[in-house]
Amino acid sequence: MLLFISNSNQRLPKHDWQLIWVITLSIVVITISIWESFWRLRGFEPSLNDDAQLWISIRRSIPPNDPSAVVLMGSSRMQLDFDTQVFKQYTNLTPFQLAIDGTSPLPVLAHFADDASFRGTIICDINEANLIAKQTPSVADQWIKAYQHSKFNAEFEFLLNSFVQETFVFRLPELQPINIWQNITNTGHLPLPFYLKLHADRFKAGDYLLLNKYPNYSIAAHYNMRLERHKGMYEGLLPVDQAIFESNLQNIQSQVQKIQQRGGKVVFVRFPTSGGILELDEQLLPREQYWNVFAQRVSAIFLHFKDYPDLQYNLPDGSHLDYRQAVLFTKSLTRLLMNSLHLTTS
Amino acid sequence: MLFNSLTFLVFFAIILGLHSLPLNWQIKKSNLLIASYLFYAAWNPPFVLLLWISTVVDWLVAGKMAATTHQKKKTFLLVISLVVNLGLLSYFKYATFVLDNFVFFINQLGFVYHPALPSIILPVGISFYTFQTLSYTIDVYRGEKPCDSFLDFALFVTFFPQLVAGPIVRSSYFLPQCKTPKQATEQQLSWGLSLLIIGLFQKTILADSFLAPVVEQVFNNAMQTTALDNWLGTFAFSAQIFFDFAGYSTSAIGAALCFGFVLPDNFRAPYAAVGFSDFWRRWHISLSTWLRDYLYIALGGNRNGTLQTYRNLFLTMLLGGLWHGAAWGFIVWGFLHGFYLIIERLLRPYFENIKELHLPIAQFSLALITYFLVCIAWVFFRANDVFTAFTMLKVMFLLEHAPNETILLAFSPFMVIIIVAGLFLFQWFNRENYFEQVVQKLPANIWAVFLAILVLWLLLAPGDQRAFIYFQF
Repeated sequence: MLLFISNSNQRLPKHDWQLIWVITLSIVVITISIWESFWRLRGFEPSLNDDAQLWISIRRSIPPNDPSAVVLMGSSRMQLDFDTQVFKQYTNLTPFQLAIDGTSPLPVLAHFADDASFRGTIICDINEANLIAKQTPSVADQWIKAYQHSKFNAEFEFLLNSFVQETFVFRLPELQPINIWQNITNTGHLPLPFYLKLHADRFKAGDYLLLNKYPNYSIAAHYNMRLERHKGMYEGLLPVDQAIFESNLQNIQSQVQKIQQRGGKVVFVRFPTSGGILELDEQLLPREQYWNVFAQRVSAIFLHFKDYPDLQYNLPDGSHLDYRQAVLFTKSLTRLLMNSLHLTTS
Repeated sequence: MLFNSLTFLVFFAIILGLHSLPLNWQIKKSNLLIASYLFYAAWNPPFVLLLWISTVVDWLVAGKMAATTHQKKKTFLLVISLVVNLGLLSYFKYATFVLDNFVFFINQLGFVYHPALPSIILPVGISFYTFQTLSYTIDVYRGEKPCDSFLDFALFVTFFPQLVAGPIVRSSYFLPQCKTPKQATEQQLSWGLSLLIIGLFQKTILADSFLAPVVEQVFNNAMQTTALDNWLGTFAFSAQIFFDFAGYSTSAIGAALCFGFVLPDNFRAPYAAVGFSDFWRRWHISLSTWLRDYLYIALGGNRNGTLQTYRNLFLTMLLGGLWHGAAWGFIVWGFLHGFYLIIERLLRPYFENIKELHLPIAQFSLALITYFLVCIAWVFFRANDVFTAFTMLKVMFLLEHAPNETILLAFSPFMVIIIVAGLFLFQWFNRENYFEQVVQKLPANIWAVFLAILVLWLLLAPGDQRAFIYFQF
């Protein structure tokens, strides 16, 4: 407390407290109602936050010792491109989406390799950049640690938070005052509904057509931004340190073996890229030198989008699929997975 | 269970509802006790056992102590209590630290020794409830009457508002409140809820949303920061730890008041302190008075001459530092505060008769100097290790070359300066006031609008949910 705090009944402020609470609650209720209505009228809808709590909740729901458990890991490509409902429809299996935006899948793979109760299938979105990057502490490590040290009441807290997030628009991260302010300073206008919509199973539906409705923005502008970011990523990664690449391959192989020894399966998928981003990938980290070596050295199943015409798309931002494309892509990928993993249709 | 969680909101509403039912006082106290165990178990259920061990051992020891007139038997019983309580504390809090340092020392001597390091989870709040139960046993040893109700005693050890991060309550303060039925009056309930809101605002908005990102950015990248970054990060931490810890104390006092229980003050405008004796009368009061009454005085206090007094002061502050955690940074922090207190005592005879030093401007300057030196000590408290702390200080005093480019966002310096200056000035101008007096002077509608702004801020900009810093101590 700033000053002395009450430890004496004689010091308590003598106010008309009923009046105070009536005024306080009225202001709060009226302001929240106006705020909520304003954003709903602008097209916003309530949605869960893609945070550690949601990830932990899905991680916790994976049944132990279940050979039919299918876990998805990777980064944003896995979250946007892989439509979990389509997969479920075709296989009758509920996939557990544990991809984490903007991170390498390797910490999550290591986490499952160390989990003796996991005997299912891992479908892992991985790319050449993941294979040459030095492993440094990331969001994935934080979320895994949070899962391992989650409190006894974490599930209850998640349920309450989910209820609030799914009920009120004002709890959306982009509508927090600091983010609204940043949006105004960056774009000159109030936030507009985000082009990504998160589903409860962590599938992110990307509606890229929305980008063309943003003032002074477009799919093309988004593509350019993504390409610049991709270039920036490579600046931090190159030149390739072969020792790191070698060490990563060894670690992955040892993790895959651990999973396989328990009866589990691992499939590595190179998700599609297109345009300048694909050109950059092929130029800086050629498939022959990295992906193919990876496929030779690791005893898992590999699917590279370039080997299958059904998996090749012209991506709106060069790196992710629109949700309409994701339906078709997932159908094709599921067919390939079923063949590779010898799954039967429902 | 965190105060800043929705689970707590539901839990608190249910317990408050139960407490307001027309039930027998024994049943109401039992409800509070069960609720307190649930509150603790929400974090890690097995550790409730530690609470039970502490409660039962001290209850039995104190009872037997009061029943005997033999001094040796009393002392023996006290030793049992100390061994059990401090033994648990030492194992959970200091075992890894001791082993780490032992291995380091042995390796320095040339012996190759790499034992498997134990993976020990620190039970939340163990330092707080250990000190609380110990104070009861020591009081009985010193001649106080023991508690005659096990339920009251168990509630004293476990009362959920202050269980995990204080204030550390004395039995003589809490147990008499258990004698008569407690039901919050309208005034108590309203003021209690107001304090709960203010405490959460201090923690969630000021400490977590505004200050924590700056502090983390500076202290987690301490080797890439400029002198200005380090100064801003240190000032930001001084405010963050205040808002975090005082926010918890405020919420705890408010929550207890909603049930009709009164808890002691824990902070009194600490950054307006003039000198370090004054600082320790204002910062974490329940710990500093505990250390004074059960350690400093037990060591001899100021009864055995100047040198012994300094030694006792120094030891007390060193152990006070170690109480916060098993790390060299906390020990150095305690060392610095011991050093400050000794220097102040040495200088006092030369300065206390200088009239000019009692002028408001001189007092303000002395408060600024005190705050500045407190901040220097905070660097050791917050830095990842002592080496990093020294490096940061060298950069701050331009004794080491540092990068030219700041790592902070453009608006961060202004935000930190406004918050820290606002905090310092507010405390300075109200250093002798009760917070209740400040609120009493405000018209009711202004106070209502102020509360509404805080609630709206909490609802609209909750930020990340972070644990209270003092949970780890």
